[in-house]
Amino acid sequence: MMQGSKKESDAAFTEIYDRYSSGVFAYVFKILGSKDQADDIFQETFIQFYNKVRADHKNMSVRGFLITIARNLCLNYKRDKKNNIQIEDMEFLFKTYQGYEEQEMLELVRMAIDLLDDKYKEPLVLRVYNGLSYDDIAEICKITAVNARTMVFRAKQQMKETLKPYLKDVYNESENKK
Amino acid sequence: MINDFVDGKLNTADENKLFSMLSADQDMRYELRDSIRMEKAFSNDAGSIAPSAAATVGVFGSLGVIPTGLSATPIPTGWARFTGSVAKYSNVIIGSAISSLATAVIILALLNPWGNNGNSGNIQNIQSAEYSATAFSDSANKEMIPIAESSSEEEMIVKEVEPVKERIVYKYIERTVPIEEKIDEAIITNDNIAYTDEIREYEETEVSYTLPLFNDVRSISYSEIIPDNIVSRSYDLLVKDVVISKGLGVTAEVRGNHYWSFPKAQLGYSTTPLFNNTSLALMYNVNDNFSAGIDLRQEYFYQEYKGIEDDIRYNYKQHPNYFSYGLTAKLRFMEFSFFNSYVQAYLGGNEAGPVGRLMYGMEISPGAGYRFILGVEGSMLAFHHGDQYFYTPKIGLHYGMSFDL
Repeated sequence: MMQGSKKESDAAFTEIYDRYSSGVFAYVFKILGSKDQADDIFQETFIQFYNKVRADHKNMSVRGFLITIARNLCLNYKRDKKNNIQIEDMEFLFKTYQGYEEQEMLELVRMAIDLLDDKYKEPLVLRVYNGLSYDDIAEICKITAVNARTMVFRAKQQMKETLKPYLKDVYNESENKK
Repeated sequence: MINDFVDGKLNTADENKLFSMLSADQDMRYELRDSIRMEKAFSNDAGSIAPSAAATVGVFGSLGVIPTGLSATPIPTGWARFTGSVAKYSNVIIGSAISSLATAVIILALLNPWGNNGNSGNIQNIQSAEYSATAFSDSANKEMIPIAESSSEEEMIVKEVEPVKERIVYKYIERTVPIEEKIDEAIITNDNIAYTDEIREYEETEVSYTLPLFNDVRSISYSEIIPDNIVSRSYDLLVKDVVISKGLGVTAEVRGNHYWSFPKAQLGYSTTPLFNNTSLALMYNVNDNFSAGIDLRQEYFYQEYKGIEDDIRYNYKQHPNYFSYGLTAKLRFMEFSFFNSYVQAYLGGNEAGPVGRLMYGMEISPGAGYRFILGVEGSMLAFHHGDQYFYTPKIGLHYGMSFDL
């Protein structure tokens, strides 16, 4: 992508986009909590990636580089904008709390993630939605690998506490059916 | 340990330790279950999140990057869907087209709308006339249609052809009509001939042809400007009459029947349904002499059979009414004007058993498109009782009418 012709460069960028776009979008969406905002930051991430890669010609982890760009953009956005989960989003989440058990669990997990503190949410999203190692998470978040692991663990624990009443009801229902 | 186990980071020794703990601690099992459910929800959620198409377009469009595999000119979405649908249903489309084409070819071959001469153009343009100086004194025979062909100015050949019986035909029947004209001599006053222009009109007289029903005969008007320097002349006018024959090529027959059974019936009819001893046939006219189709009728068969059962000799008789149906074929021959003979075969059956028939008769056609029918028919019904087969023959008199549809 950096050294080839325009056609080769475009082909390489297309391949990178295919591989990492979902993960980058998932990260941006989970961090910002709004799809519209996520679309803008997501597009800006890849545009900056394309320009910076061609300009800097550095060898680096592509995924890490993308997430780093996305992270910085999200931080800038959140610093400039008020970062609240909009009421209509929450209502939307609750309104879709119906149907099959897995769908219910999915919606509640999404809600629980949104309720996490940013210092826990970010490592969790990078671990769960992007499959990054703790070392990569540490590099991106500028923390240690141990700290990254701890943050992910604590994020999950916090989510379990949030979901505990629901999970208890589900298990009671399962026991009654037996 | 549970978190590491779910992460896949636990070694074998720690796994065994974890499992033994899980077996003794229900709360740990609940926690493991919660972790697994959460991991599953994470996986489902990650799989469902993807950037929108608009975002993708925005990225590539802003950068001016053409995605790999696409041409510089993108294919419109609607056309792509259309071509996709065509490709998906190509077998159905091709099969339907071939079937429709084959059906059209078969129908055209059967109908033969162009007849013998293949000329089915505008009827208004067939006016024609030939001028010949040879006198012709014989008039047209209304029974047979004369055709005049002038091979030379001095000799005329007259042909007579039989009336046309084509089912569907556009046909020109040529005939000549003698014309004698005289111009008023008063026009000629002195040696200086006064030239005048006159127009003579010739209108066709009524001509009747022996043709099937649904035929039209279009008469033709002829007009001519006569040169003004001729006192009198006679000539033969060649006129073409267009015969347009229409029809489905199907004949319907309705017949009443009266039967005599052999042996003679010892019992009266068991029932008297509506349309008893009546038959209806629909036949397709393959050509002028052969027709085939179906035959339906209400009829009686006298049945009598004997046997021995439980050392008791019995004799059973009945004369029930049956609804019989079958295939029939008719062959016409010995045609004389409005009369022809025919033989008709039948093979069918009813609830009692199979039935075969053979009929000989005559058809009388006083007019176009319909006939009176009179025939004698022999029928045989085969039926079984127990292990034996019995046969009951009968002879019938058929009388009715047929109509060309």
